[in-house]
Amino acid sequence: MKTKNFFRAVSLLSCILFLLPSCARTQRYSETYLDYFDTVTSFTVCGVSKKEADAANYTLQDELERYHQLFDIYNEYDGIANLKDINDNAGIAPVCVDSELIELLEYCVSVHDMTSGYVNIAMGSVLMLWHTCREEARSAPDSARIPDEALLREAAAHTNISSINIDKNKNEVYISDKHTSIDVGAVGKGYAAQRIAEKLKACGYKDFILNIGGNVIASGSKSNDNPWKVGIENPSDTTKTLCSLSLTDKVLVSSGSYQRYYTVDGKRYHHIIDPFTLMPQNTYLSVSVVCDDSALADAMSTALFNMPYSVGYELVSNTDGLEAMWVTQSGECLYSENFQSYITD
Amino acid sequence: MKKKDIILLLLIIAAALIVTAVLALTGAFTGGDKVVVTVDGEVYKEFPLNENVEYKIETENGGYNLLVIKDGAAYVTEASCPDKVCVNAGAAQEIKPVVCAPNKVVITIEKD
Repeated sequence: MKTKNFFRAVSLLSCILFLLPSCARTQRYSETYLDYFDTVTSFTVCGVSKKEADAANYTLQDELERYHQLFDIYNEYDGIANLKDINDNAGIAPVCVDSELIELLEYCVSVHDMTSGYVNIAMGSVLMLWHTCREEARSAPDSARIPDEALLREAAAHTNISSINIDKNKNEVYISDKHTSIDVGAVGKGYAAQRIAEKLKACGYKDFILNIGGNVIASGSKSNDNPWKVGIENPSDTTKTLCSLSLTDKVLVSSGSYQRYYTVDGKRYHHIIDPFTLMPQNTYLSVSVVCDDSALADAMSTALFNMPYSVGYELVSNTDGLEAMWVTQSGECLYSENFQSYITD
Repeated sequence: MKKKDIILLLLIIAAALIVTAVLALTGAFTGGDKVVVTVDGEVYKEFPLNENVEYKIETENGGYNLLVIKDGAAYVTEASCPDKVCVNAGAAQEIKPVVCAPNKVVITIEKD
């Protein structure tokens, strides 16, 4: 009798051994999108069936398209009042928009105050001058130039955030200064990522990672309660990582001068423009931020990139749940109080 | 009966071990990180991440991207596109593919 039980046990064990290889791998589904926010979006979801993953991708794509169109300042879309419509009507008339756009703009105003103006969505006219030069350089690299300083100064005279009037009750936005325009580049992607992640969670997806152009949201865990592991690029050699972070229900955003730039007379000009000097700031190579909200992380990484270290450090210390890492021009890494607790090997 | 039981058991265990060993060796079971190249959404080629290789991805529009896999990192060192976003993108990560929009090339890392 005893030996019979023993055999049963061994048979069971053998069966388990057989099954092991198949369940050791948690199924993950990944998708990449190229058509939104002028950047790359990638999405990986775990612990769901193929059908559920497909449904998540449909939701994601719909939402990406919706936010992309709402936040677009270069193109118009049928049946949608977006930021371009608001800009085009500056000094002319209020525009009635989706309540989601009202919420974004209100958030941007609060971030402006929180960062002492280092994040300013009303500096669209300044950013447009840089944008034009960048676009020109793309088609004719040899005649690349930077914006004329007098023009930059002139544009900077029309970047007052209080020119943006938001009427929440009527869902209307009116820019009172006709030379002022909105550009949510510093916040838009992070804000959209946050909202989309919340929607996916509400649909029942728990374990996923969403990356909209460097705005990474690590929801839940990768598999069997293993955290997501995300590498921070070495700005001096982007084929290498500086360090890896272990993230569970956290967001990570990096702002870097190496990501998007153009060259004039051998000198690089990147895309993060300081609202006060009106020039690309070259104090750091990159700034990375970890916290719970991707919109905040996006805004903060931009603000910190332009702030002197002491000012930035204090801002991070005074903001709950926010940690940051600065990589200076010489490649030195500086950390906020608890940033290193996320670093893993 | 007992003797046959034992033989059967040994066979099952042996078979299980062989299957496990084969999966492990082919990289399907442990750490078989892959570099997957897609062109216009279709899988074009796959490489193991742990083997150093240089490969020229040639696309239908006559363009190319030179993929380098070295020391566990996969990146593009040369490309026909005008903006060189793919070259500046650095190494592909699981959550951050290297993309060349003009050539519709996407290079992703698939981890186990």
